[in-house]
Amino acid sequence: MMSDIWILATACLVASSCALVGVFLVLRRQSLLGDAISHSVLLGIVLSYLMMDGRSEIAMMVGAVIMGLLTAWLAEWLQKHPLLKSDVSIGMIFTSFFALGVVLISVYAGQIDLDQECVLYGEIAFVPFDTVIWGGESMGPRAFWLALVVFLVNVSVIAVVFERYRLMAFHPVLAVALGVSVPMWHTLLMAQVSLTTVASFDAVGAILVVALLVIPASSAYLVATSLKTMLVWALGYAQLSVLLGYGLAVWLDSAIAASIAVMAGVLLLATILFQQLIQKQSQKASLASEAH
Amino acid sequence: MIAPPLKVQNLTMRYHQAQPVLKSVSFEIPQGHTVAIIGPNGAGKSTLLKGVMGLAPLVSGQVSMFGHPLEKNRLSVAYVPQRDESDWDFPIQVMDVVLMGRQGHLRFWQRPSASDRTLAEEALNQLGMLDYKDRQISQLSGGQQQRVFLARALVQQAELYLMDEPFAGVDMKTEKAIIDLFGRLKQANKTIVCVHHDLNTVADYFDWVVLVNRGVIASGPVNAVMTPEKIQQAFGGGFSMMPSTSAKEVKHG
Amino acid sequence: MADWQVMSADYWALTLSFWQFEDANALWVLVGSVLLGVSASVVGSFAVLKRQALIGDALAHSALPGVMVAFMLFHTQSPIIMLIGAMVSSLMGFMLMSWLPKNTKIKPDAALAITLSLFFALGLMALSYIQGLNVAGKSGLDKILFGQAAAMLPEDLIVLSSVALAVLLVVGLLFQKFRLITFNENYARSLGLSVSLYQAVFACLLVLVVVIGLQIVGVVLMAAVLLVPVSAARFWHPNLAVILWVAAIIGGLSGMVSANISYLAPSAPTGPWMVLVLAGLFLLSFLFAPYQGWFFNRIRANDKDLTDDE
Repeated sequence: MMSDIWILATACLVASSCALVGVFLVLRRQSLLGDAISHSVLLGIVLSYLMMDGRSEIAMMVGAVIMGLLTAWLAEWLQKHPLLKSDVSIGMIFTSFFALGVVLISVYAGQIDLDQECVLYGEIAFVPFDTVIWGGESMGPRAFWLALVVFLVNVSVIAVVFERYRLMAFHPVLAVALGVSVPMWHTLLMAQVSLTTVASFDAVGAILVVALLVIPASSAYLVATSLKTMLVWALGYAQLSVLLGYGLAVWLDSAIAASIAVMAGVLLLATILFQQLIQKQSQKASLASEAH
Repeated sequence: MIAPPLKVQNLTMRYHQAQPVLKSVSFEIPQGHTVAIIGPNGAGKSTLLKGVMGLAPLVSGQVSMFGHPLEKNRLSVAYVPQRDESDWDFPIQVMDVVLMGRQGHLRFWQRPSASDRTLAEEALNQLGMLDYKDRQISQLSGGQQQRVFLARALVQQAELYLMDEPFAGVDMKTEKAIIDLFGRLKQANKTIVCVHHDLNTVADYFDWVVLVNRGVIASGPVNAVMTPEKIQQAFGGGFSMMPSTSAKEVKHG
Repeated sequence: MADWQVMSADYWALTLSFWQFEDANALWVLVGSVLLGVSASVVGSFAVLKRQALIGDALAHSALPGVMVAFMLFHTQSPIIMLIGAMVSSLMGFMLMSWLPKNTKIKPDAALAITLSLFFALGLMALSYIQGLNVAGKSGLDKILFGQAAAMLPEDLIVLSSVALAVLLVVGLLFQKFRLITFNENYARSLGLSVSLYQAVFACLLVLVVVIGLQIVGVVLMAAVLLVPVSAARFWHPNLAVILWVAAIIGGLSGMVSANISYLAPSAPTGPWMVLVLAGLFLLSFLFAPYQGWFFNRIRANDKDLTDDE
């Protein structure tokens, strides 16, 4: 029972971090960069394992942020080449980094306590078994604390630089004209994406992170009328996905992280369906009033 | 009497659910003329051309070319899209772009033949671009790109040419090449319809005008349409046309 | 993988025997991988030039639930049934991805990411559900995540090779039309070509190569095989026809290497190796290709400076 609560708490924190950061990715039309970073982070984690000769949270985070920023920067740099426009540069970099990560895992299978499956699924069901021991007492799962720290970091960063992020998301050109250093804030956002991904990695794996980054934020994008309400909606959608997804996983005995991501998608589709129905209704109403 | 090359009746077009871009547009163009479609920004000139070519959806209205709908005589109509709607970094050479004009004549498995190549070379030669036939398109200047597009339209051997802003942002040499081309096409009794943005050159390049602002304001020979009142009606108050003599001096002087 | 280290000692001996084609199955894997590499890079070239470089990524991820559902329905891993399942769900992904931006506020990039992650999650959910079931023949389903060429059976390879050849044939036939539509869609319409028909054919070709690539490259990295060869090839030549040939060679080479690796270490995932080979070939092209490579551009720029000085 206790372990269920730890799993849910961890999933809620991870989903919340992803939703908050995802809002800015979706608004800035950089969903694919989020996708890319979530893949590249694997290489950072693997390298941190190899260098530290074992698992170290700090090294993992540093490695992940470095690889995440490197991905964003390389993608931007390559994009400037006339032959590598649009998504080509992004696609090239994250697939190479991810492939290198997987190959390193398979070659150094002995030294790295990761396997290919866990990279994809996450192992949120095993979260409760890896606990932090402090002063001889178990303080709860390691993944939970990591997720909590990253969530707090995300909330405080967004609270502090809210105005800058809003300006940058709404009107990057205006931001430049007003003297705001867009590259700096962009880098900060990318660092947040990397941190969030690495904190989510244990729980949900590299690809399902993308679902949590993009889907709740997109649902929120459809219903929200301001950036603040969009952030709140995104958090709401994320929590609901976690709860419903967990129920789905228990019911079908399926992977928890995957079920959460599926529920996020179901909620998005339900939102769209609902909106389309309303739109149809109002169209009918206006046609009827025109006829009279 | 033969049917006119282009006849538009009651054409209405809109994007999304907003107000119509064009409402009940009707006009007719006689054969063998060079025609300018002019109007202020946002008047729906390019949209009109796209609607005529079936590239943007019509809400209502009919378009006929030589008395038939477009589908019946695709091969006698050539369209020149706006230059900046294309990807000029695309890996292709000038000759291959011009040969695209023959694709309407070829079945899906057919390759351009030697005679198609000869046609393409002649077209490039007419526009002074033969020396560039093996160039990659990204190495061309804006004017040269425009001339390649015109050569492509030329190999279609059409009767009616619809061009979207062929004079936009081109150099003097290209401008002259286009005017010469218009002269030759007119002599061969072909019809040319251009979206055009420069009021000052209308009288020099064209002999027929369709004045548009969300609908047709006037349509007819240049002298009849390019009157201060009608221009004012299309472009709104405060606009006055520069005297055409001084415009010419600026252009060619 | 444990046997990887063991294998490395006999690397050359094994490579030699691989290239003497002593093992009939290895020969089949080689043929299949090369054909896949060639057809994926050729079809991918058009997608990249249409500015849809990552569409293959979404299509590959979308195929996963189809494979799983097909298995749940028929309890078999017969290649035809897997292929059909994958195609159906991949096409559904394609439709969702194009429907979203047209009918809602959601932008194309987010639509792609949504489709990709949602279908992948569905697939993983189904896979975990199947693994809890008590049915025979379910092992190896998870191999389509990263690809495992060595696990392929001759009948898989026959299907793969014939589809790849058919795809290449269609691209060969329609090359002129595809190039025209990719370069200038509206102009193609104005010529009276049935552009939407050609686009539908192309979407099918794309789905087909993605689907046959699942067992060799895997879901996760399929995008790379579609987009890297053409991106590398563009540094070699300015003309699309030549670019397609170069891309085909690059794709084929990467297939060859991955077949070799899967022979040396049968349990190693092939997809990531294939992608690393591609990344290496891209880097080589980026730096040293004669047309737009960094090195020759540098030399040309220097020459120009010298002549300018005179």
